Amino acid sequence: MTPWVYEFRWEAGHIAFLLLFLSVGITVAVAFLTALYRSSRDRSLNLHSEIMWKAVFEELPREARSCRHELTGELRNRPCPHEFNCRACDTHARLLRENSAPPRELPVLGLEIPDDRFYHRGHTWIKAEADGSVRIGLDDFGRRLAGSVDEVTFPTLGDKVEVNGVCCTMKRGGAVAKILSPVEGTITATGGDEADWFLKVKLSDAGKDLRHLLTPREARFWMLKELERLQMCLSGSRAGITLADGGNLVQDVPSAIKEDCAMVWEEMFLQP
Amino acid sequence: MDNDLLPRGVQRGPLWKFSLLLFPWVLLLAWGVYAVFLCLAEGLNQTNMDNRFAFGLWIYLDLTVIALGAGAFSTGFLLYILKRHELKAVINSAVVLGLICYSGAVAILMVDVGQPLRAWFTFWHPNTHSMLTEVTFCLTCYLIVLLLEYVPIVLKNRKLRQIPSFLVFEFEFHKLMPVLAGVGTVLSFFHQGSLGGLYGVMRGRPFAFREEIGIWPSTFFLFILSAIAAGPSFLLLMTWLVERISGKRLVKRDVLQFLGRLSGILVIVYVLFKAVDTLIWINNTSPASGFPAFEYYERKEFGTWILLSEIILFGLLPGLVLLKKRWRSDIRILLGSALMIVFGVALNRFVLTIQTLALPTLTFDKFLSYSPSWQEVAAFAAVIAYGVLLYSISFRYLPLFPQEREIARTQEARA
Repeated sequence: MTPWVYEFRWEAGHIAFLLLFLSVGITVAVAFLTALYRSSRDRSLNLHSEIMWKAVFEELPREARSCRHELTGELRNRPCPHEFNCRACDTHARLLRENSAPPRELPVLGLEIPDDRFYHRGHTWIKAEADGSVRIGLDDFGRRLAGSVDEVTFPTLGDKVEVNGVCCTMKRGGAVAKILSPVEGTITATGGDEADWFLKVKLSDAGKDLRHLLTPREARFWMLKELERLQMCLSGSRAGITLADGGNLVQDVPSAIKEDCAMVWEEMFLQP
Repeated sequence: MDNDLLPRGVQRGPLWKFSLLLFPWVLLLAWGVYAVFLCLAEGLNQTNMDNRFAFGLWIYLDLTVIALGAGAFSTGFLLYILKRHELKAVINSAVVLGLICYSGAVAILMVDVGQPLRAWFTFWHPNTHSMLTEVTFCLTCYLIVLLLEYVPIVLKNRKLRQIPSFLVFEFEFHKLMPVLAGVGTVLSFFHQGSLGGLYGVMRGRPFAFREEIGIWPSTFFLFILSAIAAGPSFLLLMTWLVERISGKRLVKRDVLQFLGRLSGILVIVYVLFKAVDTLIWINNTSPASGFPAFEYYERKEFGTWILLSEIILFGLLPGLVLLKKRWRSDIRILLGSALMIVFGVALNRFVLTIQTLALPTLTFDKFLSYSPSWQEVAAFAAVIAYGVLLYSISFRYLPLFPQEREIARTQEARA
């Protein structure tokens, strides 16, 4: 069976059996070492944020993974297959060419969704600046979800941010929200208390492609879904009557939901 | 602190309550560890086994849990190789159950051998003429595979995955799961088969001896078939049990029904082969050894009822029930059938281990009886306690059921 055992002979049959047995051990060892090598390579390529986002996306409930074209009614029942990276999506490119979106009445939400910016599913927007950089801020929904926070932690100027990587954190009581970056680039400024934006980013060359972000029209349909998702999220909490009564989203959601804040932030900000 | 370790978006009870519930199992584990200590320190005279009745409760239960643990490799094979994605809902749980079954079985084998410090002898000086050598090699290798499959599940823990190295390694390692699933299938095929072959080659025990198909006795193939038939049923039962204990719906009902259907189809195939094998044995193999088969069933304890129960009551009947969609849609029928299949396979292992050794084979032999000592019972109770502890901790802190979160949210919304 093995060379050190009596009766082993260096013949084809014995060698084949030995190789078969060794191949099992070699396969397992190679698989393990390959994973180690690849993970070390991923770390050196700084793919950590991308991988974390894949893990977060995989855990998202179906209703949070809707394709942007499902939101607008162009496609039916289509969860996004690309982790919201529409740059890599052939269907998105095709539908943009065909421009086949059916005319639909825009939902009335009681939320501000300015037309001069693009929106990210982590409840941030970006607005282009004259110098080619972009400002990043929380959308109206995200702002109400955050309410009046105790502390905001920004990255250092000059730091690089990745799409769907964490670009800032907010604290309120024991709850922490990690806000995802909508773009990749270098931080050039951070906003003050009064500003409606919190980061200014100089886009990297790859980051200038903004096809992954929602247009204001798409954002309206998406936020309608988000309101439903928030309602579902709060249905098991102690928040009392939620949006089912048809009212507007309150200005400071955490003050209404208290100890459920961490859970709601985690869910709605898609945080890792 | 404890809340930070829980899987995302799921509810778990308070830590003190969880600890309190686990405490009796810790006591049971301690009792078993004491029994193991006695067996290792004082010797196997602590058991009621002897040179004649060398396989007892431990080997019987080892064979049973190894068969039930087959759910891990069969689910992995179906998910990663045959791409049955619906099984993603239970794969993590299947791996944990497989790990518990196999590691528990190996631990008991170490005690049963009596000298665990010399366990390496079997690898360095293997007896190439023994089926047990193949079992030892394949079991050890597969246990390593299961441990490697468990690693990414542990690294999915919410706190651990915040560590970039762990997150990235888990991501890359998970991509290689089809390789491990393939290796696990090959290893399981051989050790499940060799455990059955172990009995089939015993010429001195005509009750167990079987004709060869190729180089293996028929029991080699019957053990593989019965294990892959019982594995999904056991997984189904455990999923339901965890749902009951935790008070949460963990998987969609169609997943349980798929497991039931799979088990039903496989058990029918197994029963067909088993029936043919039994007929050949009754009419050919056993008479050729000088024993008319009916003689084995003359004792009331091991009458023909045991054979008929194994094949018809706990094989054919639940298998047929699970094939019919309307019947398996009823959760009570589904669970009842799965339980019968699991029981049938456990009965098969009992027959081959205990009945084989109890029956006389020589003219001066007597019918042997055996009942396990408290040390044997305690040692195996420790395996069960270890399983409960490992599974409970895994369930609390690791994402064993990826559908749990979505199901909980849907239920809340409906409420």
